[in-house]
Amino acid sequence: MKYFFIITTFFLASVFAGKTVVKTVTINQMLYPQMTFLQVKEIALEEAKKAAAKEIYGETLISETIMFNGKVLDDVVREQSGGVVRIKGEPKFSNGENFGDIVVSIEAYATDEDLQNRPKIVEDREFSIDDADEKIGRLKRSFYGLWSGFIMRSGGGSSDVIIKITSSGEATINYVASNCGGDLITKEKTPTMVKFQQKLTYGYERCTDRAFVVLKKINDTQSLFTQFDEQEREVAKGTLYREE
Amino acid sequence: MRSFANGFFLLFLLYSVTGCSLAVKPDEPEQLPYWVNNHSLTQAVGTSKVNFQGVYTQRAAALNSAKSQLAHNIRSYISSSLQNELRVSNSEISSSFSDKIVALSDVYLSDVRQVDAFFDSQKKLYILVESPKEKIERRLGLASSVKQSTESLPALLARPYEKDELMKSRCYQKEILETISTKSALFQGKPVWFFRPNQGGVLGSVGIAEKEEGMTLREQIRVAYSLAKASFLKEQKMRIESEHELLKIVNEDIQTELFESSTLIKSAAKSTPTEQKDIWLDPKSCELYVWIVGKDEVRN
Repeated sequence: MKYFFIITTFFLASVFAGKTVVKTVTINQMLYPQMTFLQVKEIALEEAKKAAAKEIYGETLISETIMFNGKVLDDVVREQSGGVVRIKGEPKFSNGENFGDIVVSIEAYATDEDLQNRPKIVEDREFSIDDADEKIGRLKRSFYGLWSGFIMRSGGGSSDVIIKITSSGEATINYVASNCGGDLITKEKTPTMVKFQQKLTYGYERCTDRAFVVLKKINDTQSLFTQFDEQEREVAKGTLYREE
Repeated sequence: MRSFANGFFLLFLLYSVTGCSLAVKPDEPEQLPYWVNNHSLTQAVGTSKVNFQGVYTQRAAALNSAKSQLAHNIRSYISSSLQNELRVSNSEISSSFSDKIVALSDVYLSDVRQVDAFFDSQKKLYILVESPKEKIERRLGLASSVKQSTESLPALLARPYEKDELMKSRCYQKEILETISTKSALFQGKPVWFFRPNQGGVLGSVGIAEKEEGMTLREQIRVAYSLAKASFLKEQKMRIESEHELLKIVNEDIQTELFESSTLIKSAAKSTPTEQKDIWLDPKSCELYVWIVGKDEVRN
């Protein structure tokens, strides 16, 4: 009776202690033409261990997508799984159904202690996207600020230009040398391009009213300035630099 | 020759008298699925134009636009600010005003599923998503007021898959291509499950991986499978933070309307058992499509 109790206790302890899984993975050697047979066997064993870890410890998938104006800016998927995986006995290798198949079978387990000490995995509400709000904010503010530079007119002549775009999207332009300027009304906008229509408020006699102004981002501090007349002909060009 | 000219003249006269015209008839508008313009509050449609980054990006854009739209259908906070300015200069009066309407939505959605998809003749992709009526009602705190679409989807005119098309592909060596066995029929050049990953009560998801240089088929499958699993979990529960902004500007006779939207979709959850149900390699673009379904749902 005493022995029976000891054997039963030992049996139950061994059955319920930790977690044991049997994993079989098949890999076709044809998929790794550059590798030797031994290297492919190693890959198969690694895959089996990964599959065992996923089953023993579970797997958390973190997925984050940022979209701006209907376009995907960032799409990140992270898989998190892991902990100590121990292998009972030797891995068993055999041939699979198809030519070149390598089949590996392992019996993997983790002890109670391993399970208790497993790395904590972020789940549910604790998201960890990398500066998502900042990324979107940067795109929205992409043209905000004070821009200035020198432009050449296709008919000859040149001018200093200052463009100010506020955070609420209001924009003004000043052609310093020509002593004219006015409002810029946004017609189109993408993260890298903005098209305005110019509405002069002073210096009508020295500048063309209703011209179109296009700013194309070269980088965070430089933009290409192009001016078009109402017939969409290019009339001036230059590079502006961000002052603020 | 003269009789031919007379004949032609008579024919022309006949056309003119009977009101017929030799002018080319304008093209009839393209027939889109009914759901593109008719869907209930529990559904939303997202679109995306063809782009050089491949179907993966195009699908992600359309799918996420639909989810963002669905979030706004369910709950959004709308604010509007009107700014009016009157200027007097040299006895001339000029006026301008701007009206900014912002809709903000931040909701947790569960069980949002892709119902159908369609490519039009310009290869623009339309995706229809749906959330169960009960889930939305619970979210809104309503009692059975939201109508669920009861329209059943028409069968897709699919053609059988032919392995020869794949074998002509240069994506991989022939021996490797041989290992890819697609079961599904094709519709609009893609497996039926690309359009309807959730069919007949089976919950599924699609992952698409592009082929990068030096990538093996196994690696490509792994990426596609991971993306499919992430999408599967995302459909079960996700947080959508979305902002739609419409700015109307009128400056005397210059008028403009600007629409800007930003969406952040997040999900983090423990993986549930899934099984790969089918696989397809686009023989031209070399993008690999994997269809997975929840393991409990697998029926052969």
